Amino acid sequence: MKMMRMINLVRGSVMKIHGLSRASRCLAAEGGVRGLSSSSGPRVCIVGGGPAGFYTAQQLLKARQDAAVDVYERLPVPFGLVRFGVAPDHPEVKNVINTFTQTAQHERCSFHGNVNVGKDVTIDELRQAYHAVVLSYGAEGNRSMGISGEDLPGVFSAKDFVGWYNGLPSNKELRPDLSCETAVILGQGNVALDVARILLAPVEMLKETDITQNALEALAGSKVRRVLIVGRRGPLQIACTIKELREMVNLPNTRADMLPADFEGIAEALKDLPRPRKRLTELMMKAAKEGGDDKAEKCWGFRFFRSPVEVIAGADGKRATGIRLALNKLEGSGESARAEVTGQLEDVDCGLIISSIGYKSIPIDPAVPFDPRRAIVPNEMGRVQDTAGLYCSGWVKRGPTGVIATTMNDSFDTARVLIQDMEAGKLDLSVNKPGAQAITALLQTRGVRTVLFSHWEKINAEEEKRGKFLGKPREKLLDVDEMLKIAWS
Amino acid sequence: MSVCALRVFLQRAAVMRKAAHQTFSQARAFPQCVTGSYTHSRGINTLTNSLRAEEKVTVHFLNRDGKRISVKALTGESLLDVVVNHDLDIDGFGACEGTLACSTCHLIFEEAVYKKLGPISDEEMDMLDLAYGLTDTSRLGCQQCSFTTTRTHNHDKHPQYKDATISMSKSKERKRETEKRIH
Repeated sequence: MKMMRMINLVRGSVMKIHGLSRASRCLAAEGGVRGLSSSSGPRVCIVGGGPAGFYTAQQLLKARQDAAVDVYERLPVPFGLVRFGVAPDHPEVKNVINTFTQTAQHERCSFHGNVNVGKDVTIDELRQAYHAVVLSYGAEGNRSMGISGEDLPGVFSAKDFVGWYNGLPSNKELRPDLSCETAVILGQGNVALDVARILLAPVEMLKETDITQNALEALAGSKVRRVLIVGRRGPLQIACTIKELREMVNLPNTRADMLPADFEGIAEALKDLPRPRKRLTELMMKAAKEGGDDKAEKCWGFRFFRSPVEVIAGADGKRATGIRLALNKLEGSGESARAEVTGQLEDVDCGLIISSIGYKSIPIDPAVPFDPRRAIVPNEMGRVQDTAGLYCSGWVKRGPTGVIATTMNDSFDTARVLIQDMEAGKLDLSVNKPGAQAITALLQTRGVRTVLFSHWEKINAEEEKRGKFLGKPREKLLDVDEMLKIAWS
Repeated sequence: MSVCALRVFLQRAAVMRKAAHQTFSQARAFPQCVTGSYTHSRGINTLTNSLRAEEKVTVHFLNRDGKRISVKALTGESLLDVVVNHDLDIDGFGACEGTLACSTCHLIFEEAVYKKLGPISDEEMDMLDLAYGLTDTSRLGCQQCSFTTTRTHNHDKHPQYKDATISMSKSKERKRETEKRIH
């Protein structure tokens, strides 16, 4: 397995080298100075510098040789959830950063970090400066459980917990208390499994990743030995995928601890399942049956048919000491099965509760339509409802599910729709639009200075330098002011 | 052209010689094709015998719109290497750069070729299971680096391969055409 890892890293660098030569070919071919491309070409603004933003930009640049694309990002650093969401022990998933870097360095593309769209500049101002604006700002909020005690110390959203160990500046003060024995995670998707794995992984393994140093130190001192991953429905409805489950099963010094009752009737249902679901269920059942080494210090397990109803506070009422779960029964089967209450309740003692039931988009600007029920920008194939020249891609368009490849395909779709509209004359390209020059000037009058991609490269170099000192690929900067200082140094 | 599922035909250019066999078995000994990758990372093809017809395999990629891209690949190159090294216009192919962290290099093979591919690991199958449009003859391109024999005929079962079947029976002509395009 380690050999394969090494070999996979080699392959990674091969692609990088190929990627770089491709990028330099682009630069050579374009000629001219960046930012001063032909004013007769379409100018597109993309709001959000994560995977959706970059994949949309990539496709636009490729489809129209006269298009200029500007990517705006609130933070000084690009890449969104690839940097702040993907688990530290999944570095291969972050290889997509190489293709985003190529896009950002493209002659007809420019990155503008440190710009808070909606606050520093409005959507209407962007629409005036560009022929089209694409919203790719993702989902920065989270779904709440809606139960009492949710705001007690000891209860966190998975979004914040993941942000904490991945160095998201707004989560740097999270300081989760890891002195309890049992942690309960609500939700059974891949994010829930990432959290469980990071809580139980050996520190020797984590210390070679880009996990933040403060999270590493907290985890090194953690007393958490048991993690329960709770879902409303049954084993056949679990949302995680097999790779993440396999990583839990293979975690050193841990054993699986599940309830046989949760698996009643599952063996019989196996034969009718499509292969991916069948393999996932078989692996789960194998883990449930075999458990693992009894001498293992740590354990983890799924708990099915349970919904949270209340966070239980300790005697002093000041922090979470347990969670009350309602037991469900399943109506229907397969993906559309529903959980129905039975009236039975169960209390679980725990000192750390992490709710991993979904991210959630929030409205960015009153001028943009927003569907509060689905928490997305209402759209038809990426065209924002009732708003010509405004498009969306990624989670803000479809909802916060799917892997990077899902977002990639979705972004390509939006880009194609935008190109179609250009070619069909739905966007008036005969009007010259000033693009980034106008926006940068406007921001300057408001005291906002942008972080260009070359500035990010300084931040990047500094993070890699600090990481090298610690034996890690990088040590992320946690403070926006420090990022800006280094960016503009 | 976008990644959804690509169908692949593999075609050996000529009769295999003993030397080619040896290369083939070396490639199999290193299932991740480290050797092939190193060669290409230097940008120079140091395999001196690479220009011999026997070493080259013609690969046809057929996308869902029926558009076909044909290239010549070296024995030992993975199908992801082929796409990258020939700079093929396939959007989003190989997002994770061959590290089994995505399924964007998903390929659908002709049955006869599929049967000759190397054994599938749990890790490959785990990612393959997430691919859009998964079939019984699907594999991930980044893990396939040994090319097998020609003469794969699949006329009746897969009508969309008719063109390919025709081209395969005229393999010599196609090989010459391909050589003209690349060299």
